Order: sequence, then C-alpha cells, then structure tokens
Amino acid sequence: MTTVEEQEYLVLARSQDVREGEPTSVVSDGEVILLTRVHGQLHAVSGICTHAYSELADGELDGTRLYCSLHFACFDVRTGAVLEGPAEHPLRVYPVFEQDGDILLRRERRVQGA
Amino acid sequence: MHSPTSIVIVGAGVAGVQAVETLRREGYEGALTVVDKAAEIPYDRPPLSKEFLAGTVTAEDIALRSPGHWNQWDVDLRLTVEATQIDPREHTLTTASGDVIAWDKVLLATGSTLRELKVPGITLDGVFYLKTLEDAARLRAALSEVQELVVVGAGFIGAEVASTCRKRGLHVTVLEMMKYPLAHILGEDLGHYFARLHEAHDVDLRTEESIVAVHGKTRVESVETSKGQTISCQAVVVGVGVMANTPILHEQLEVSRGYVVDAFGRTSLPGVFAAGDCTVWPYRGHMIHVEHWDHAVQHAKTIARNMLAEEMVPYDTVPYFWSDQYGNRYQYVGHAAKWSQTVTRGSQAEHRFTQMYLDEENRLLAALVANRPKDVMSLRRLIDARRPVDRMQLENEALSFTQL
Ligand SMILES: Cc1cc2nc3c(=O)[nH]c(=O)nc-3n(C[C@H](O)[C@H](O)[C@H](O)COP(=O)(O)OP(=O)(O)OC[C@H]3O[C@@H](n4cnc5c(N)ncnc54)[C@H](O)[C@@H]3O)c2cc1C
Ligand code: FES
Repeated sequence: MTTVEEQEYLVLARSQDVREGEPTSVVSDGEVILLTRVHGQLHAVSGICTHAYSELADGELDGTRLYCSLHFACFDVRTGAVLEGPAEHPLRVYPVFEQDGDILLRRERRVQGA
Repeated sequence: MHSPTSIVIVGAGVAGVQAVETLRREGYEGALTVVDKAAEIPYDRPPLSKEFLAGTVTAEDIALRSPGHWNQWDVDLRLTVEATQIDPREHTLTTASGDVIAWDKVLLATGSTLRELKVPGITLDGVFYLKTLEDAARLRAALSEVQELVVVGAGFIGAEVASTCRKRGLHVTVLEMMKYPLAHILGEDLGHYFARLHEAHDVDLRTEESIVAVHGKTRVESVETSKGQTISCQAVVVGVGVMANTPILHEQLEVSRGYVVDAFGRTSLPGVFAAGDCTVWPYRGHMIHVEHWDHAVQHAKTIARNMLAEEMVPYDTVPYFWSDQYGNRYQYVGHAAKWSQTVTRGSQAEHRFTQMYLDEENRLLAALVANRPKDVMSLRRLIDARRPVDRMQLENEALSFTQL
C-alpha cells in the first residue's frame, strides 16, 4: 500500500466577511483560524495565542502586527513570527486564497492508495 | 558609567527572567548569575490558581521559558540559593550558605510574599497558602479528599481559588472582612457585582466576617468566624493580601513598603536596581506598589535596559492585570486610588461591561473590562494620553475607544 497526497480545498468564509484591519476568526475542523486583510492582502494564522490561552480575534491589529489582548504578545500576521512579548512559538500559517468571493484553505490530505 | 562585566539577579520570577532575556537581547555579554531560593526551573504564577489548580496544565506547561533558553542565554542559574546580605562597598552578595558572589550591578527581583494569618490553629494540616508551585501542588493533591473548602479573603487569588474549586464540585465558603469584595480597588458598585458573581455560582460568601480560629484534632475540621459561626471544612485557603518581599536589607538601602526605586529602577544603593513586585516606584507623582504580572515584566524590561545604557529611560507604563473567575475574564488597566466619577459601557447582568474611572478633570485613570478584551489596549492608550475625554463619548457604544 502507498499513501498519496491529495490537495483539498475548504471554504473558510466569504471574502466580504473579512474586512481590512478587522481580524476575524473561523473554526475549521476544530482549529481556530484567524483571517486578516492588510492592504487588501489576505493572511491566515492560527487563532489561538501560543503563549497562554487567549483568542487572537480579541486582539488588536496594527498594520501587520497583531497583539494578543491578554499579555500583549505581538505576532506578524504574514509569517506568524513572534515580534514581541511573552510568546516563544510562532503562529502556524495557513495557505489561503480567494476565488469567486470565497476564502479557501488549501490542505493536503493523505489517502491510502493501492 | 562603565559597562558592567558581571550582573547578578536575585529572584527568578517573571521579573528576573525577563531581565535575563532583555540583558542578553540588548547585547550584554558579561557574566550573568541568577539566584533563586526555589528549587524549580523558573515558572509562571498566574496559572497556579487557575489551570494548574484545575488540573488542566502541568508543572512543565508553566515554565517561564523552555529549558533550552537557559543554556542559550549562558546564565549561571543557581537554584535553592538564598541571597541574604549585600555589601555595597565590596560589591558582593552573600548567600545563606555563606557563599560570596561578586557583582558590578545587581537587580533585586525578590517579588512578594503573602500576608500571614495569625489565628489559633492556623498551623494545622489542611491550611494552605498559594504562592509557589509547591503550594499549588500540595493544595491540588489535597483537594481530592476535600468536600468543603473555606477561602479566607475574597481578593483576586481567593476569588480564583473559589472559582476553580467550585468547578471541581467542592462546596465553597468565602470569608471577607470588608462589606464588598475588591471594593477598595474597584468601588462599591463593582464590589457588589463581584459579591453577586460568587453567589450566582453557589459560593457561600460571607462579608464583614473574618476567621478567628481553625479547629481540628490533627487536621482542619472547621473554622470559627467573628460572628460566632462554625463552618465545617476539610481545607482552608488563605488569601489575605500580598506584600513586597525585601529579604536583603542594608542601612543605606531605602525600603518603605518595598524597595524604593526611582523612575529608572535605581535603589538608593549605587549599582543596585530593583524591579517587579518587590518595589515601590513613582507613577504620576505617587509612590505605588503593584503586584501584578504585566508590571513585573515591563518594569524588568525597562530596568534591565537601564542597567546597560548610557542614557536611561524612565518607566511610566500604565499598569495592567487580569483575573479569570467563573469563566469570565476581567482585565484592569491603570491605577486609581481614588476617582471622582465612573462611566460604564455594556451590561453587568450579561457580564460584558467596561467601567471607567475618571478624575475631576475628566481624565481617564483606570478601567475594569469584563469580557470585552478588545477595549483593553485602546483604553490603556487613552489613560496614557492623560487628556480630558468627553463623558458622553466615553459612554457611547457606537464610538470605538480608538476614535476618542
Ligand atoms: C496564585 C497566583 C495567581 C496570580 N494571578 C495573577 C493574574 O491572574 N494576573 C496578574 O496580573 N498577576 C497574577 N499574579 C501575580 C504575579 O504572578 C506576580 O505579579 C509576579 O509573579 C511578580 O513577579 P516577580 O518576579 O516580581 O516576583 P515573584 O514572582 O514573587 O518572584 C520572586 C522570586 O524571588 C525569589 N526570591 C525571593 N527572595 C529571595 C532571596 N533572598 N534569594 C533568592 N531568591 C529569592 C523567589 O523564590 C521568587 O522565585 C498571581 C500570583 C499568584 C501567586
Ligand atoms: S496569552 Fe497571548 S500573550 Fe499571553
């Protein structure tokens, strides 16, 4: 048996629901994903702060800098990198793109082949 | 000022650890020694009354930095070492076991201690304080045998313990000396709110009532109160206040409710700085003492930089803390010992509100934010700005605080 990787696409939201400067979180397959739009460009990172526990949608977006509202760790929404504060680990970045007014997440799915 | 070649930090709480990280980030390459009387790899305290006590996180989860950092930082971390004396002429610190450590500069980050309760029976088994990981681990282990718990003091730690233990299904009684919990910080109106919050979660809150004795043969069986009541219980948690911990004293080291530091973090001893819970520091013309996490972090960050810098920068960060109770998140920004008016957005009944405290000139001094985390950063900036704000605008939910 071999495993092959297949691409699949999940609709996360409508494009119009993610407005410039307003972080929006969606839940997909049990994972909280934070969508942001900065200068028109869409970004998607994990929606839970890597420090303690706080939802990043509650935080503040300043350009591409996203501040957690609990202890103010600061992340880059483009790369997930920690820029400041108590977090040690970067946020996971999700591959997303927009098509026909939808925001889509691309992910690999392993399927058992013959 | 010459640049230091050996720095010693006393205390590896969040302030001491932040100082280590900042010193290395700022390029300090000299010797760095950290002593702490505790045995554990430095850890974070806020989870002790929350997730750790609830059993949802482990000791490893609450390490302040992963172990790799300590090697990477090239720090001589000496655990179970208690510093006892300082000699400013010889530039040395002495430890309880008689070791002598030389320094160019010292940071005192000795934190706080819990106020002790002095009533008969207080040393019985089953009476707990909650400050260290060891305290929390002992309490957590004991809870499985406890059906009825008495919490003494409805301050933040007491309230969080009550909340966590209710969730574990214990019967909880809270004794509070004052008329309303937290009223000295938040005012009577919110004091009333927090009293109802406990009651809504079936906590037996007894205000204007204090503990006068703990009874039991070999371990706690009940407590006796100032109103002559006896409350049956198998454990007691004491949370009656926090004081700065100033274990290292010297006739030229000024101490008054804490190590007295100036805006740059300097104590009255040359070369000796202090940061975090152990200090009193100048904030808007008053010497204040803050015993909260964010202050310890920010204070240590600024002061560590000042220990290296030719040009020091003053610390004047608006204080901030949070507390999690009964599934609600409360966040407080600012500092208001007194205020002349308050303004509220949102609804107490729905546990989603922001109460703002203003002075007579309509300047925002502080705010308590309940489950509205988006308000916190913008309010902190408004407090920092110190300019008068329009009351009507503050109240107007249609306006975001960033627009004011
Ligand atoms: C149970 C609990 C819950 C909390 N929850 C919150 C919260 O929700 N929100 C919030 O904002 N704050 C909270 N706090 C407060 C916050 O944890 C403190 O403000 C913070 O820990 C202060 O950091 P510090 O480094 O100044 O002091 P500390 O954390 O007290 O650390 C001081 C260190 O110095 C060491 N030390 C002391 N004397 C000596 C000596 N002579 N020699 C060697 N070492 C010494 C001690 O062992 C200790 O490790 C909580 C505190 C507790 C105890
Ligand atoms: S939980 Fe986000 S900074 Fe701490």
